[in-house]
Amino acid sequence: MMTITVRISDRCAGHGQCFIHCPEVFEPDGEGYATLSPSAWQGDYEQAVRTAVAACPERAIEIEG
Amino acid sequence: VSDRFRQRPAPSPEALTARPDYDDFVPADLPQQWFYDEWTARRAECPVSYSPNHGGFYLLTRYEDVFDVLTDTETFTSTESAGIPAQPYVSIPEDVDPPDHRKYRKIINPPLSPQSVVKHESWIRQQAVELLEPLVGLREFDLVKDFAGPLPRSVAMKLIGLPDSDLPKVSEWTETLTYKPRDNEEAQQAGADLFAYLAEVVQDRSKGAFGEDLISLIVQSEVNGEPLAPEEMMSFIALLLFGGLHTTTHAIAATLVWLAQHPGDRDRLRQDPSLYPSAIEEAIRYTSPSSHLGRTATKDTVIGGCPIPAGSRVMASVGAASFDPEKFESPQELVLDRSPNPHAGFGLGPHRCAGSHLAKLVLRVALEEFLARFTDFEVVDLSGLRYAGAEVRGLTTVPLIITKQA
Repeated sequence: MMTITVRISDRCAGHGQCFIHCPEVFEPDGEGYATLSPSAWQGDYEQAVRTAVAACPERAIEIEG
Repeated sequence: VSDRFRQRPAPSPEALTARPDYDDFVPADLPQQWFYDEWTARRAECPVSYSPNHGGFYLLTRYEDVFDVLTDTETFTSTESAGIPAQPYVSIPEDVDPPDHRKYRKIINPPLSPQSVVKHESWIRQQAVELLEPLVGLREFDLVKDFAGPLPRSVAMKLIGLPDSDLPKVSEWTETLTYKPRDNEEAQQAGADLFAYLAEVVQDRSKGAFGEDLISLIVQSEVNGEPLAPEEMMSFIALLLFGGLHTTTHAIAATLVWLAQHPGDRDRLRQDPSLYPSAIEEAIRYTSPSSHLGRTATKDTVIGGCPIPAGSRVMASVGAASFDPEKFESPQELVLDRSPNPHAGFGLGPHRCAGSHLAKLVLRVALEEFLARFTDFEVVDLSGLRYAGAEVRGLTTVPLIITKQA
């Protein structure tokens, strides 16, 4: 299975589009800014993560792989 | 859209220089198509243009330029006022730069986070139902005055922490300040009345009896180890009122105006509720109730190839950015399943609209409950619709005919 690395930069301003596109990987912190879900990701979320990257108005999600 | 605006020829460079100086306050009362055409012309021929109004400012109409300015808070400060023309007071926290800006946002971010606002859905829905039920059976009513206006206003008053009985006067003051030029005598009086009222509110609430409302949080909070000054509290609450009372109204109204003209989209939303998340983001982009944000260059710089001297005021048109065809295909169409949709409807950068998740919830509930009751509806005079306002702009009256009840 292919692995990609996901990072959220401090550019995140809390628009929350990533929670909508891929709630399995992204979740809001107490203030509504994006964090990576702490649970182990099982399944293929690559397409959903790429959509979240493209939808983020702040270009705050970085992926490798 | 009236023929007068449709028939305007494509602008030549001569026509562009002859264009009236751009100002979101003037022209007032124009159809939205006027702004689309103006942005399109400027983006094509002079994407960074200068207007001498309000002490002079550079107007940005391209998405990339707006993005660059709003996400670079070191080069483009908010501390000289995020408004053009400038507000006559420091607006908290929109006129504060990082890192202090975030300290104010920490106060109101938790209750306005996505996971917090969903807890309010059932009573917001109840409010929507109570407004809509008396309209069922009527052949004609005013979409804004009877529904899109009252719903977000009562939601905002409750969450901010002001009694419904104060809504008429608070609404009148904020409407005057939103829709009238700021140097207008009436607007100055409204500003004085609003701040006198907020001084009393702050004084009363500081005595205790705290609730879960935003004012209670603000009066109990500290920034850099100090409580906020009363003037800061008043300014903060004023911004919540400006952001909360009228913006969502315009999103609800202009989305339903689109749906009035597009029965296929009404049916798709009714038949496939999974469209709502993308439809709501798109409705925000398409309606763009917040039209611009002001910044000031802290050093000599360049935007989109145009030299900008230190101290220049810059108007980042988030409205124009969200209609940039380089970024959004067919920008003048509301596309229910548009994805991805990195629109600038809630602004860009750290000052992103604090109430965005609440606004999206209210918009969704409003559309769901409206479409559940009214199958077919038409705007009485589509070509007669006029937008009012400047920084916050939208329809203040939309007579609607119901042609088929659900």
